[in-house]
Amino acid sequence: MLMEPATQKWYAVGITAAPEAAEAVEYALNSLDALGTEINNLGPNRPEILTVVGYFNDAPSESAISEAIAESLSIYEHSLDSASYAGTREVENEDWLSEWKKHWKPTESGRFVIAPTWEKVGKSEKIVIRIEPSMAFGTGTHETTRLCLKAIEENYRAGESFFDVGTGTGILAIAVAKLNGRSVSILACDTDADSIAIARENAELNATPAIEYYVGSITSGSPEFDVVCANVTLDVIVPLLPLLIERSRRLLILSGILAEQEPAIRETLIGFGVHRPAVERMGEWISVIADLRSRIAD
Amino acid sequence: MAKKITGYIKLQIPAGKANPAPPIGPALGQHGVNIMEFCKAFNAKTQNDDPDMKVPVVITVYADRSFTFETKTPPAADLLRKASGIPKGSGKPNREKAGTISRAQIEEIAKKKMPDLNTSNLESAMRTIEGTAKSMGLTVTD
Repeated sequence: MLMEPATQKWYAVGITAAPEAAEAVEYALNSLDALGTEINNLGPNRPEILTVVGYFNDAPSESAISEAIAESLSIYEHSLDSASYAGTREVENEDWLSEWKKHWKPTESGRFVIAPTWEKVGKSEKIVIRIEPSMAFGTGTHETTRLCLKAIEENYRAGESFFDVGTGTGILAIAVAKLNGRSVSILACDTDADSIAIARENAELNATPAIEYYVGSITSGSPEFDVVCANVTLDVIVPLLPLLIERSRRLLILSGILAEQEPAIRETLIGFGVHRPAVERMGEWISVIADLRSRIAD
Repeated sequence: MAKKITGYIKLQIPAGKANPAPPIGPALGQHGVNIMEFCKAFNAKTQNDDPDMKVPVVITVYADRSFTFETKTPPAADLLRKASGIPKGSGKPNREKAGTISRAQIEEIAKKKMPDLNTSNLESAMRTIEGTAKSMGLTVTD
């Protein structure tokens, strides 16, 4: 996941529009190369006039905006007074997850309890994982994270080495470290440098200093591990699959895959001699657990 | 009992490349949505779409800060602009011609747009798309 540096700034261009002209305004903003557009307050109680906001790295001039709106309204055959420029404001980078964090409570997942750093957790038999998510993926609330935690809990054997590809907050690597009474080889990577910084901080919070991290993905130079886990998305997994299989001695755990993509991942795995992976479903997501020793036997 | 809805947000964002930067961060953050979870789900659902196209997506946020979302096909004008290779429409279609587009391309776009157009008739959908093309100053060729 990409995250912009703290000093990053954007420009939000606001255009007020009659609801029927909103698409024309989106088109105008996109023709000016907006990063994306936003319309809030839709739904049954929407106001009579909507505000369409386009976000930009560099603010377009007022004349360019007005010209783009006029052209777009003409293309969509709306009157020129159905939309007008309302102003441009600067948008500073901030913790956009802060509102969600206010309500985030400890989440149980099998033997694990994933808890925000600021929440107290009562004494229990559970293994507590402390997470400060910032803008990295993996808070224990998402089905794919829970599926991976379940796969680890049910299949991982203490003492096995572990490689977490696309670590995000580092939650899975930390879970494995906590299942081990002694130090084992655990490696975690993510292509996003900010996620790795967050994962390192989380490892410190959980007193799991043995995990090693790097910015990047699995490569032909990566060592072999007993268990390899990749909770990313199918389009990322498929091209990496030869390496993921090659570097897993025993078990490969995959997630970030939609249930509707199950045939695609099964077919791809068959191409690598993996015929009978275990598939678990939670909501619209699945995990795929492949014991690669049976691949050799086949 | 149905969950109470606290927000409807429409975004247009590039397929398969959602990240917490604007517009997603500020648009969803104020509703208390876990932005990273939206990004993961959106990218998984749009990973096979053209990354140069922006996908309209309507997000429904509930009182417990959970969310659902529905992606739509890109607007006809954006599909026409991409297919014809023009930077933007004419705005003065009767005086300035922006470019050309073939009938086969119109048909392809009409097929893509069928789920969001109120018709199951391909010819009717093609007429709608052709109308937008002409408004953009595109000349339709056989």
